[in-house]
Amino acid sequence: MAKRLRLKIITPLRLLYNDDVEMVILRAAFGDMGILPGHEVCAAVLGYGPLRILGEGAKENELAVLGGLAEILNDRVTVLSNAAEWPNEIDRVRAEAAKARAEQRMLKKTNDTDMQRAELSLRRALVRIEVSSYPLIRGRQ
Amino acid sequence: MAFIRGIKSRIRGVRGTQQITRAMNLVAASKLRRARDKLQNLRPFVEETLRVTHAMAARISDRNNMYIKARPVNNTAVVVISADRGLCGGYNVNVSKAASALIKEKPREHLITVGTKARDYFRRRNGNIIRAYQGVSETPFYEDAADVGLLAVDLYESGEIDEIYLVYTEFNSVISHTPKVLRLLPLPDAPESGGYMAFEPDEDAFFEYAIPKYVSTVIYGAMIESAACEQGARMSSMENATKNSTDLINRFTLQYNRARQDAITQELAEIIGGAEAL
Repeated sequence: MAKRLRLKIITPLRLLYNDDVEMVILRAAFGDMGILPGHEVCAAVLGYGPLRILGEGAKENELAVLGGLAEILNDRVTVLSNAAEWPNEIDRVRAEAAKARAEQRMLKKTNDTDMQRAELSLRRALVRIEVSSYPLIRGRQ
Repeated sequence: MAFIRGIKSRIRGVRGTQQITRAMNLVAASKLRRARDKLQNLRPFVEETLRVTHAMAARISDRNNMYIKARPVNNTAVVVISADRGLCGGYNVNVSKAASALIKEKPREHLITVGTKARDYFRRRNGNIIRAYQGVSETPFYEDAADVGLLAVDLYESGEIDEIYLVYTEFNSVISHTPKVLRLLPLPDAPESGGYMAFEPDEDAFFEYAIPKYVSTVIYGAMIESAACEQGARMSSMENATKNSTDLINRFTLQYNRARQDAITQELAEIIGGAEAL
């Protein structure tokens, strides 16, 4: 039997995922990282992006992770994020509205526009929109 | 007659108080339920954050990293989490006392208080309060905790303080709460390195991001624990108050009835005595 990887995704509101998987692809601060069992012991700052879970067979899940930390041990990955959502939980309309709002703010910029904040909320909205269009094939919880 | 009227008005008074304490008991019970739900969901996150951060600290290659290397302690920041309002038994006093005991061992304290009760406690004792937050104790948001956390981490990074302590109340059950003292920074130094670990993007950048997050998360967890304790303490102390007023009312009612009976007996005796005299 192939080696497995234990993936745990935790947010302040709940435990999102706690199961064995074959591979995890996560968005670190400077690019994507693919993690297979036996990965080097590592800690990473996460960016805003989709997190892909490859499980048994062709099962594949994707969820939106908005920042946080990941601890990667030999056979265990722990993701600690302040916000993570499954595609079906994302309010698409709200995300679109947030995107439009952030773009507006960046276009009509005045001196007191907080560009960094506008950019972050735009990036969050984009990730949510991207992930929400992804089909949900949730494995056993 | 005057005695009877007096006792009647006392009964009315106690009954009024009882109505209030009973209402407060019910309100606290429903708030407690909400606070407990929140706590239950949050606890694993806080526990994992603590575990992961400590595990990583043991694996830092630079043993002089500012977050793990203990400096000679001159200035200590103490974050104390209390309630904004009283009527909750010993809850506020217990946590303030725990903080007070900690401060006694430290050369110079810098207090950050959350909730008006801790602020008042240390103001009366001339504690050095550098920042007092209020209005967040009952329903804390992560942003509130991040405010406190960033302030403390900034002071730590700039060298103005050498360590950060957190004093809060841990929720065991509705009636059992324990004041807890926790050192947030520097991180506990493992005697030997826990082995190699790669940090992404790099060690310094990683901890610059992770440490404020860790401090804020643990403070947030402590705020949520404390909020649940506050409601639990209020609920049980109001329950006691309600029970005590029931006892009081019973006692007064007995006295009242006795006095009334005495008055009737005496009146009868007088009438009979008067009739015989005729």
